[in-house]
Amino acid sequence: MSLILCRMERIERPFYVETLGVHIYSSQELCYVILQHPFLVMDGFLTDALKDFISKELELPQLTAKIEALLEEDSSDEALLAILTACDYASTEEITAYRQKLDSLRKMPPALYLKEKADYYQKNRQYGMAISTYEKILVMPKEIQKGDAFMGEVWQHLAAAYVNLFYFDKALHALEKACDRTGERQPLKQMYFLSKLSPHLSLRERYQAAMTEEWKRLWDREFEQARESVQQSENWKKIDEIFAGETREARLAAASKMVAGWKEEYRREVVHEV
Amino acid sequence: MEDKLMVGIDLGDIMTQVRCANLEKDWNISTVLCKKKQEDSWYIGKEAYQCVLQGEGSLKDHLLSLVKREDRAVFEGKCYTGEELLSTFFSELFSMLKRETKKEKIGCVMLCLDYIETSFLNRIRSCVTKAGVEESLVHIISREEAFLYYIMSQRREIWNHEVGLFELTKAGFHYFHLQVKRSLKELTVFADSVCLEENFRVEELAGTSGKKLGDQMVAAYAERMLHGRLFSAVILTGEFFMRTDWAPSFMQIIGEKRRVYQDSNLFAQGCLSKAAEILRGQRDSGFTCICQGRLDVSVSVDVLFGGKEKRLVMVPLGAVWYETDARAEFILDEEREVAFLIASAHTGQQEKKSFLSLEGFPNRPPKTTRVEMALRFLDAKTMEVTIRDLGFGELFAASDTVIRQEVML
Repeated sequence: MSLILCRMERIERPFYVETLGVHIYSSQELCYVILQHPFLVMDGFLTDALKDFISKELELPQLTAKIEALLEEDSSDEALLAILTACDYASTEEITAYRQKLDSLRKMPPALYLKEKADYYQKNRQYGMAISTYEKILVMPKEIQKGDAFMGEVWQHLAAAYVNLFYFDKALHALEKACDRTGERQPLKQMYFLSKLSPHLSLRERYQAAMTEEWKRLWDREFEQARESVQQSENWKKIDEIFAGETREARLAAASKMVAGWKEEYRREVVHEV
Repeated sequence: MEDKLMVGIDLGDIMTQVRCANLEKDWNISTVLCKKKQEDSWYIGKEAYQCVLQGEGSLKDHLLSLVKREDRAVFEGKCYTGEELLSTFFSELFSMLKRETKKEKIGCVMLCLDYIETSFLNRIRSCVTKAGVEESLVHIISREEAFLYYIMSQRREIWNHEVGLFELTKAGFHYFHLQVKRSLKELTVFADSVCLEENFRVEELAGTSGKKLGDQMVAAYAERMLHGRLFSAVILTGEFFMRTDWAPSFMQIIGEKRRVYQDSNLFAQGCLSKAAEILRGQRDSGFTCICQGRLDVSVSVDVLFGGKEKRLVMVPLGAVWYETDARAEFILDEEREVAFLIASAHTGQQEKKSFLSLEGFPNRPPKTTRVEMALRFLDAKTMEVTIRDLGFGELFAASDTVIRQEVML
């Protein structure tokens, strides 16, 4: 079977999913987002705006009524499944698998669940959201946290989120914590790279002492390789193209367009939970 | 609609037969056009011939052929396209009808033609529109369909078994055949026609020997067409069958255990029967027509809807192929081809599968490509499939990819 018959929907006002930075124009797209982004939709996704979209734009007022009834019973997962069932996009098997996925996520220990959620945000370049979620784990009571190895990983991922938002000093602090928790070589390596990216950062003596000369030589080589691969990347080529523009005006226009894109991207990335 | 004219027209290259709903009168008009010299006055039918005989104008006949060939004709040094002339013919025809029926407005024009081809139909439609009839009020069907509607508007005993119709006019000797197939669910009516002799000459029926020869000819055809088959009616029409005393052998063959009827202007009557169905807003006539201008196949695709596998009939059996523009939107799953199921009215349940590859479409995860599928027909045997990539909203932007392919039915 290769074709799924679409409901004919004429959407005038699409629904905006801020986390993904996209507008939703159909019930199929809504179902896709629900299926592919469980962490996004599990908490706080079923807003009044979404219910309005389902009711008025998708012309499914009965579904909205059902969602509202389920939310009153505190069954948000069932409400998500009700959307999937009503929209003729997901197969029965997919809906069953999704139900199991939601169940397994809900049954996860709280710290693990939050880390998975924060990792999801990280993967989707929602660094602000990722940071605030990782921070929730850090303030959990020790008995709920899952041990040093786990917490080391949390600090390390938190550091990565900070780096993506150019908070290098905070990233360094997080890596120090990761190193303290695990005593592993990986956070040390990342601290070393960070110091190369941002030379004004000074590594504490005890971490510097832990880095052998042999390791540093290896890391330098790795750092250079990374720099070279960046220079071969599509984004770098785009920048080269801009600077190869014929006139100054053309170069400026292309550069402002690119910078505007970056700003827009950064604004989306920096969004965090209030 | 009461005070508007509903016109059925059997538009022939030599004669045009017209009937208006709720009026007993028929009009048989030669499809000719005459322009009065030095004036912008045009005449059709008998008046056109009179004008020429009086030496007051020049005449052009075979107007339909002129349009078919996309040819031109010259009147008083001025060149006119076939469409311009046919449009003038219609204009004069409608004026005459309005004058004689004392009705001001036309509510519907249903034309039947012996040749169905998209661009030709568009040109004919444009001629009627230019003659002052709104496009939405103009409908065109094949002569087979007009015949089919004429028969199906008669008592059931007429079409209970096969029906044969012999038409003998200056345009030739034609045979029309109708057969009804019944199943539990539906009634399917097949109609077709064959030209037995082209350009029949009146002189052939002159004199005793001419009549005898003519009788032998039509009798031989009747024997060939009717032999060993069960007919509930045989119908005669056309100016040369208004009298049948010249064809005793023919009459003996067709009357053998069969009911024989004679009628005139029956294609125009069939047009009116079809027009009445349209005006009633009746989408389902209670039977499926299979004839020239209609498809003798249905085209379906297997789809998932409501979580279940279903067969979606994109084009139903008996659809008017030149008006069909079937469209639907789908989401592509994992497969990279679309299978069309083509079921013929003649072979019943047996289906032919035709595959269309989607190679060249963007590679995306399953269920993230929305496509628009459009089906139209170049003729009764050739379907044109167009599949356009619509992307998946802002999640996966649409590309310009379009696949267009002809599928032989």
